[in-house]
Amino acid sequence: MKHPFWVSALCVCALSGAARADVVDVGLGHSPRVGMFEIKLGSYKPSMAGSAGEAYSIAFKDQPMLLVQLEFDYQFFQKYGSLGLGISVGYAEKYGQTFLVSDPSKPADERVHLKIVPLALMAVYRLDYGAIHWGIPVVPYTKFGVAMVPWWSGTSTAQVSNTRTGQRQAGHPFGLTFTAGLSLLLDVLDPRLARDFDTDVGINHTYLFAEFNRLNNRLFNKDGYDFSSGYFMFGLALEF
Amino acid sequence: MLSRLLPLLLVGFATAAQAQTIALTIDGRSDIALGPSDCSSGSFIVTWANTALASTCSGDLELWVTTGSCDIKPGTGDVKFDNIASTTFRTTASGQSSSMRFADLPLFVGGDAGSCGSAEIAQKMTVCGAFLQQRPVTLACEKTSASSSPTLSYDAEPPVAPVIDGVSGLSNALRVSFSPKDEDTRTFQILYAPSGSSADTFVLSSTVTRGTTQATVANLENDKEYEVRVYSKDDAQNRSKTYAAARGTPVAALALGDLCGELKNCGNAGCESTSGPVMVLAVLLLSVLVRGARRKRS
Repeated sequence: MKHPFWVSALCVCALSGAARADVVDVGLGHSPRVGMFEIKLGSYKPSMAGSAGEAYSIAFKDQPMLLVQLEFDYQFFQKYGSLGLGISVGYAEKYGQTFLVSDPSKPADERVHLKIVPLALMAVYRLDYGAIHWGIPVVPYTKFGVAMVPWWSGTSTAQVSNTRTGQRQAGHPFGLTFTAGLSLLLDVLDPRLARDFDTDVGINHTYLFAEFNRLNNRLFNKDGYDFSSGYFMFGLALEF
Repeated sequence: MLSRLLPLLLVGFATAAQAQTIALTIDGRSDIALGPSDCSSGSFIVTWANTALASTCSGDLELWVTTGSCDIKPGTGDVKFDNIASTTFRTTASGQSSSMRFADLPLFVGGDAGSCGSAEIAQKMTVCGAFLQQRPVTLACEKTSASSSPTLSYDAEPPVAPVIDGVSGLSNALRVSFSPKDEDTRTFQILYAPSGSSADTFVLSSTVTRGTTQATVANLENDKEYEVRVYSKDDAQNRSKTYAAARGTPVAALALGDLCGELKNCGNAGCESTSGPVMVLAVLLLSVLVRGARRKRS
């Protein structure tokens, strides 16, 4: 128990070895792979540098948002790993305390909210050669692309409110996104079931994954809210 | 031999008789509520449904409304619909009665009856139906009641006014919390007007159902006092004679961008005007990448 990493590695190797005979023929006699669908969750906290960060801190007590994302990748190259084009859409919201305009020291009877819908268009590369041909159940991958973060903020009585100076509390800043992750091929747990899953519904492989995301929202716009962040996401991927 | 044949004979008779069932509803419902507001122009129609059409009996389907319980024929003071002809209800799966005005219900006609809309009474009336049906075994035609009898609940008693639990000021709005004081309450009516306004200037903000205990009165002016009145209404659309009233003032709340005061870079939106072309370039780059890979593949 002192070395959980080595224990995990051993388990993965054992599973890999046990399932190897079944996994070797993955790709042979299976339906062709077209793309990947992912559903993932993570804790996301925009950096909100400077005064915007103070606003976020006051309203939401510096707590992160729960981000839910769906991603669809289309794979167009599958010779040495798979290269594809992916689109993702996410949603996160946070509710917090606001204060009276007339006396900012007094809390208002309503709440302020921040809602975001991060969108991204990415090139996706998965090093799944080992999983497909040698039965290694761990697939590293990376993604890089452009992102847009539509956001809006309001109070209990308005989805989008204006500041005292009349600035509308909504926008859609652009940025770049980078992801690096590791996915675990679940087929090794029950290769026969995995094969049935492919035969019945066309799902070639199922993965559990963890990934680190880096969103930079400050490259193209220096003003406004900064939704740049580094955050982890965890989820389930279905390759079909 | 006879003991073996008897059950078969009984089944045979029963099958031949095919017990008819007439089900009655009012506008598809088994119970409707009506109040004084329905008296002036309201009327209703009874729908009948016949579940087994075959019958050797004749005789019309009688329909009537009674303040008592249903029998196989109308009693004194009961109000009758036009009969449904035997040829109609025995050969058709369903149909409708003639129309009856609420003001003609037995509760409001006759010697010592009150007039519809005037008396503060609450009473149930039942729609009854009867027809001749062939009995099994004897094969005799006997008067039988309809299998279901819908009720009309006349209620002229208004519910008790609700209680306002609190009013809080929001940005350009007031949030009102209330609770019913009467089991009969089905909906709440929320009205508002600037404080000091006369009764006829109150505007209906919303009508919410009993399960809702909060309502927001929107589109108000900040820092101006308003009076909110909440009425109860029951199923028969009777509105409480009195109302619950409370006053409140909408107060503006700070937007997220205001929370950091006068500091810079706060709450600035719509500032990504230069990013559009960059986005287009990035998409173009990706598409070139895709095309390149496809060419290589082919």
